Amino acid sequence: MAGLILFLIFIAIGLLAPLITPYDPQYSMQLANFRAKPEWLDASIPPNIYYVEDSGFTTSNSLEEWQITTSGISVNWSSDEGYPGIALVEKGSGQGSIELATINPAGEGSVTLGKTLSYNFNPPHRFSVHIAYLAVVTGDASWQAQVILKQTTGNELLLWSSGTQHGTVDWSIPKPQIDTNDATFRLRLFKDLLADASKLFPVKGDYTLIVKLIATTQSGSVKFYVDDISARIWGESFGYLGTDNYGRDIFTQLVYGSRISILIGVFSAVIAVALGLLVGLTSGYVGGWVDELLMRFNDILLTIPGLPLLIVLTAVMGPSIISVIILIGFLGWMGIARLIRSQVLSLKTKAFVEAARASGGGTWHIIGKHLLPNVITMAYTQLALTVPGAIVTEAALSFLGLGDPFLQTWGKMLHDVQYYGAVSEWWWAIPPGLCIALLSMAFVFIGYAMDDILNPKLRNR
Amino acid sequence: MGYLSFFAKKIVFAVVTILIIMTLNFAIFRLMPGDPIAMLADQIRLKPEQVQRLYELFGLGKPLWEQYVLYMIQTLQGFLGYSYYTQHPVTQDIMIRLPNTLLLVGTSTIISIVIGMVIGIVAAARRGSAIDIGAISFGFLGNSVPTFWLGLLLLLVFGVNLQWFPLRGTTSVPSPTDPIALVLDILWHMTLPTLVLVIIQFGGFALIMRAAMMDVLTEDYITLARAKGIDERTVLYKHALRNAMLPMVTIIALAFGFTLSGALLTETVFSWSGLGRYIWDAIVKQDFPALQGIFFIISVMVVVANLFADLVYGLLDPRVKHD
Repeated sequence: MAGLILFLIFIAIGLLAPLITPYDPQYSMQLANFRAKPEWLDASIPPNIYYVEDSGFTTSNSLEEWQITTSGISVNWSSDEGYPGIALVEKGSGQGSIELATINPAGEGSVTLGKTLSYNFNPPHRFSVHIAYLAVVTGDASWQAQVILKQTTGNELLLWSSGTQHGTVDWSIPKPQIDTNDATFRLRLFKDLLADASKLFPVKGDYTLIVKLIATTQSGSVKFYVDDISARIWGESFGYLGTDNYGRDIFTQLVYGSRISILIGVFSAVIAVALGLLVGLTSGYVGGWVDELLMRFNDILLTIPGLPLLIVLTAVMGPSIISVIILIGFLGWMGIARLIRSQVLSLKTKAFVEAARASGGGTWHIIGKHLLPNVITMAYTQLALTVPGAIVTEAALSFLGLGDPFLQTWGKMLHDVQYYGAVSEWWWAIPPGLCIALLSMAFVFIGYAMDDILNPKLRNR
Repeated sequence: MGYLSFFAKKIVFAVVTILIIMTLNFAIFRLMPGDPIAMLADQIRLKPEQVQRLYELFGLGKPLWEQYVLYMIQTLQGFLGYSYYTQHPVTQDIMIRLPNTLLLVGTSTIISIVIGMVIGIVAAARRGSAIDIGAISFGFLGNSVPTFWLGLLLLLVFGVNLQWFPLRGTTSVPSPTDPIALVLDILWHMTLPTLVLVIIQFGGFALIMRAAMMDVLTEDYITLARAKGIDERTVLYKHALRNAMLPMVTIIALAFGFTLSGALLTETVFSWSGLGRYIWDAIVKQDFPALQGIFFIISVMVVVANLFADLVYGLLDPRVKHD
């Protein structure tokens, strides 16, 4: 019963995976900083924090969240312009942006857009700001745009400056990116390659993100549009089980892993049992040299160590999930064939087989119609008992780096733990193996329960 | 059928198995993507005349049967090709690492057998007791729990958190020069990997020992011994145990392959510099000759272990004569 319940739980998790978690186990990357910890672990670890609520400036209300100080420059929401994005790199939010326009044909103007965040966590490791801008200059005018972080102490850190520009600039984003993961950025800002965002947010308190424009006009105008302003403190904590080295959600991988493991286990076991039935029935009933040949072949395959052979074959054939399933199946039928054969040998002497033969039944007729129904219950038991081996074997192959590169299985997760030296991150290292063990044990329990029910003779052993 | 024909049959079987393994390896070698020699030449930047020599060595371009014969002869001479990665002959690479693996496998197997047999006997003697149920549970566990995960778990608890044992390696770096200190250092490094293999293995041994004991306990001579009034202790340890230990000989040999596979995975976790670590690197580097070489040598070892077990069993159990 325990086995069945466990199995049903895993089936449910596998089937309902898209409802349980919104992310993709393989392709949802950068959900938080790399190797983020679980959210429940410690409340002082920063989660993902986004500075700006409506970063796309999609409606005229978008400006409300900003504190604006301006002199000589008008600030309006514009529906005409909008960051279109960069082909193949990123998508823009499209129409809707802030328009900063000089009012006087000659003179100086400056404007700051500020957004304050009260930061209440330990220092983060990664901070990035995205901003897109467009400058339209007519006549003789110059402008300079800046992104500044004002710290609790009042200290203003210049994250980016466009430098004084005299001409029109099409939609652009700062280069180098404003991202503490960018080495050029770190070097310029901190003069230290090893520093990170903890230097930007060293203590708890209010931090203000400022977008500043200074424009000087002799005889002309500057229209400056900004769009897609987003600032992100990358979460050092995320979800139930944190993230992996690509910022993918570990919990999502765990949930989807149940799907893949059940599929691999059951399909390989079906192949193994089918082959076992075929060989066992043929060998047992036909007997003679066929039996001798099949059983010697069986012995040889039993002797050859399975995992090393699987490693060589998967490495050569290329690690795809299909070939792994087939290989595990083809290397797992030997024990089953022996069991079925011994069962057939005892059935062969029974009267009903004799009778079938006497009334002219052919070999395949007797095997299919008379023997198969009598060993099929045993086959079901073996099916359940073969699954754990298949699941653990696939996990071992994946662990060694021979997993399907397009699937994040439990074994692959443990491979990543080993590969990236993340043993101490127990929320990452423990769950996949626990799931493998629990799912395998579920099948073992089911198998033994079936054996008990189907072979009542053995019950008192 | 006498001893002689029993032994002859077993030896023939072992030889045939090894030949089939070699043939399989040859077939895989042919299946490999791309031209293996071009690949090797590419990896280690051979001169054209060296490439030419390799082509002659492997007999590529000759008819398939000739290549096959050449392959068999070379393999029998102990030549398994060159590793793409280390650029040494694979045989040499394996022989350097094999002792470390065997040390781990040997130690853990001996410990597992002792623990497994003791627990199996006690479990058979006291069926339904806590020890019995514990033995059965551990037997299941060995099949369900991934070896490498258990390794990660022990590493996490005893290496990372408690810091009782080192996180990686076979010896400290630099390794101690004093021989006694060196032995202690190696023992210290191999404790966790050995523990992993023991936990995975001993349950299985216990289950088999338990089954064997229970088989023997239903035999007539045990009933007779009990009827004679011999106390249960003597019946168990003097009469039953000796015969129950017979099948263990075969089981230990059969388990050898399983343990080796487990050791390969465990070594990887603990960066133990044996064959497991070599496999991990070979997979990363797509080093097919190394993988094939490991497969071949491990297979031969397993076949030989099985043969040895069969022969020992034949000597111990005179009944095989009448099989």
